[in-house]
Amino acid sequence: MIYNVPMPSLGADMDHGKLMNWKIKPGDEVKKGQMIAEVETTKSTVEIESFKEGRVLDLLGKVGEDVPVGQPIARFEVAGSDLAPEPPVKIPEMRLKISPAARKFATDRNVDLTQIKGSGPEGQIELKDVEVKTHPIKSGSNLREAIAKAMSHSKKEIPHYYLKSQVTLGVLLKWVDEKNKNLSPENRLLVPVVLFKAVIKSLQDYPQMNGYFKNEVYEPSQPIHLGVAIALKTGGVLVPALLDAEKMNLRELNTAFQDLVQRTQKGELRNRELTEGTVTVTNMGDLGSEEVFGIIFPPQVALIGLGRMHKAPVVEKEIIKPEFVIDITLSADHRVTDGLNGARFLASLERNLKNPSQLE
Amino acid sequence: MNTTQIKELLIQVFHEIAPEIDFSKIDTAKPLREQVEIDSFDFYRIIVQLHQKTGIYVPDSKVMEFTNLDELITYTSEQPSPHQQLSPGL
Repeated sequence: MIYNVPMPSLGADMDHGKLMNWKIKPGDEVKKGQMIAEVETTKSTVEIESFKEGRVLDLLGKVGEDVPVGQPIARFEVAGSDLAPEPPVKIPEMRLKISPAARKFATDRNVDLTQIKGSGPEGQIELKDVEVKTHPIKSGSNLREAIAKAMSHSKKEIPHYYLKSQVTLGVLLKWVDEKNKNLSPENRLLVPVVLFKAVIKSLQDYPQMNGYFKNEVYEPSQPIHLGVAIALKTGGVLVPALLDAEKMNLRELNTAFQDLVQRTQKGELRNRELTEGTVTVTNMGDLGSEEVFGIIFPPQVALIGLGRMHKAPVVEKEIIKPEFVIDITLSADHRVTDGLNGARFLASLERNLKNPSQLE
Repeated sequence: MNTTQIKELLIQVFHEIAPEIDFSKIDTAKPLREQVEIDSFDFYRIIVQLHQKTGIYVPDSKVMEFTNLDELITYTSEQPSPHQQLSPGL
């Protein structure tokens, strides 16, 4: 009799699979349990086995083709009467190969391993696969959707209040300049990193700006996972976090930030970096607005906006002179703090920016 | 270093940092970022690489004031070049 080999279902949410490779050809004698093809699902590549013994008549599915579950992909000639009832198609279990380190990492962090595609031999999930977030980054529309969801939620749920201070940067820029003159080019300190360091220092003094508001309760976070908004060249914004930023000195922060920016653009972020930020900084860089009033990234409770550094008239000792300034803003959650807390936080940030030697 | 030499180096730097950009299509008298996809981080890397190649350090207060590449090229050409000073003695 002729047996049509169907595209198997490899999970409840699978409605089609992509044929990646045939391991059989017409005329082959196939044993039960023999691997006949490789199929890629949204989750991973899986080898599928034959449930019948027989001879391959023809291959209906082409390599690279997306085939709906249940549709025949091959025809076998098998022993037995044509009238015999078809046994129900058994759904093979998708056995995930996982390295012990990857399994431990995933268990510790509640990562769903079925969502990860392994890069090791035979599709084994390695530690690096678990660390690297494999989805929405590359897909512009998914990212757009994720941003829309988070920001709509934030604007609906979080009663924001906004504060702004203008800070002169003369002292800070001079200090950075003195440092950089004596550093090799590749170790050059980035001004934004020095600003981040000042933010981190203030957050340590104002823990009510660093943490999560969940189930109507605010929980301050001891570690500062500083989320940094980074505009992607492919469109959209990601906010990966500099994890445990409070433990880094200025030099370490400088290296970590540059590494983070490059990995963000390459789509090589780790899960934790995208999910564990405790506060966000958005930095307008050298192009863009002089001030930015950001939308808090829930469940965080504060966002610090660093405007474009620019020259402005500054009054000092009754004399007006041109000087570099930056407008720093705070968007904070009124359920957790009041304007007075926010003002104190900004004042602390201003003090830190004016005393850069304490930021090392 | 004259402006032509610096421009040559800048072409190399652009090729390393943003190989997708055709430097010949950039009008160096016009704002760079209105013409090509270069963010502030890329620009920082350009400054760092130019420093590596020329030995000339450009402070941030200058970097922030450049409105186009010509200003960067002119500024760099006006600085004494440590690399050039060394070479005759070698």
